[in-house]
Amino acid sequence: MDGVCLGVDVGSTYCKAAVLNDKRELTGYHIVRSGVSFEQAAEVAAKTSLSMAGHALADVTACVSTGYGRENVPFRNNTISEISCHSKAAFAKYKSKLILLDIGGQDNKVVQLDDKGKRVNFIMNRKCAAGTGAFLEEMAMRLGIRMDDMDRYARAADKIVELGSFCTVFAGTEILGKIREGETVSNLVKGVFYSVIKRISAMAKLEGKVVMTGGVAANNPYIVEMMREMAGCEVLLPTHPQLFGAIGAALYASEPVTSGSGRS
Amino acid sequence: MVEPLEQIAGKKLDLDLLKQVVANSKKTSQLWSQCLEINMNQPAPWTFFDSCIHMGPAVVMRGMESANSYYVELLKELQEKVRSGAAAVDGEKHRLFWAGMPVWGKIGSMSKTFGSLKANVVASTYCSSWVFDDLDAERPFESMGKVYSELYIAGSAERKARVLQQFFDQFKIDGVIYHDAWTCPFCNESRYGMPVRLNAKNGLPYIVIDGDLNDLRCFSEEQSRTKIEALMEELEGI
Repeated sequence: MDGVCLGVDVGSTYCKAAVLNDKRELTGYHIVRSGVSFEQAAEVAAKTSLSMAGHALADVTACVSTGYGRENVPFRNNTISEISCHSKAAFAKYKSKLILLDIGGQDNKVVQLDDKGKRVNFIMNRKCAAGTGAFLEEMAMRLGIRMDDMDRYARAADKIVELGSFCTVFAGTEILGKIREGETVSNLVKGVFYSVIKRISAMAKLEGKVVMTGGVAANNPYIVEMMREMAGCEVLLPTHPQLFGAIGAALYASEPVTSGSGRS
Repeated sequence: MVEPLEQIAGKKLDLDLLKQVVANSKKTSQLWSQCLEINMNQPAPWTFFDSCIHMGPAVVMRGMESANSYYVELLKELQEKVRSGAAAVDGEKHRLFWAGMPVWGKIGSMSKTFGSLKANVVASTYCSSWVFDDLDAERPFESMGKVYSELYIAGSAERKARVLQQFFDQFKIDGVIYHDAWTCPFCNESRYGMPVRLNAKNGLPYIVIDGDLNDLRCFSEEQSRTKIEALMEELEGI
């Protein structure tokens, strides 16, 4: 489809928008906190990303929304699940069999694609947000540091302080105990990262090409390095890991028929 | 068992009455089974969520004449729907199987979600758990012992896998929903790798929904909907 294609991924924590031109090149993008009004966040993300691409909302040929708030995007033409959108973007970029690990604000997804881009399997975490961005946010608060600084702290660690629980509440209590014992913040942050990796690694057997996406990987590239070391396979971090849902949605918008879950 | 039970009840066993109740139970079971099997028709005239409601008499009134009258009427209605081509889900595109217990507090919203996606959950292990083909009025004790020890949920993983595959074939299933009910590990086919093993054999797409039969704190509406929509998209090749 010619024209300007817009994808909006309204996640639990951040709202992402991506604009593709008629060559399916990324020409604009924006990430904004989802906040308490998904509609408003979607509008800000869309308009800002379109502005970056030199366009306005009126220029959009088609818009597909995805993510938790996918139905809160008033200007959408269609909705497609984030599982499909992430898969679409991953295969468009890597064009090979792969395992996608997406760590979001509230949930983790593991999607296996075959060499034709078909989904072989996908797994999401349970209702519990253990091992997600929400877990990191809580741990940062417990440690009295900014989330943005976690990557820096983890890199400075000289060991991993292993946490016995994936549970945010139990891990938080455990961290308090470790602080009392005199563990350094760096070693604790590395332990928190290790906990995230263990949680998502337990969801599926990691082999072949593994691609990590989502805000956690985007903001903490050291987690990707740790995963690479632990998994012992090829672990890739794309240029825009947090935008994969939005890019996938925009790719669907660029196709002639986007039937999707289709409740628009 | 008769003697101690007679002491507890304070009256003698009426063997003729027991035989009559077992005969009625078998009739209930047969009628209920026919009601469920009618969903082998395409389009299916009712849904798993409907049958969760209508299985009441088969569960708690088995052996009573009134349960049989109920299912005679229900069967007539379902047969009429099949004759007239009435579908429970207009434009039925996908036929799904529900493995495990229902999320009781969500059967209404789930029914609407699947309906809006043109998908019908046409069969389940759960509603079929009240089908007891081998009840025999002439051998009431032995046959009761047999049917209750041969319950689906009491079987081995291998047997469960065979039964599931039979369902998939008979009902022309396109995809499977496994409900991992936290508080019911027995009526739960989502554990110990069952979905992966079956998928490796039959290639049917599946999802596992986390939840519970009663405790809705274990259930996430949003996550479940995302999984269901992703399954539908997979079935549509998106």
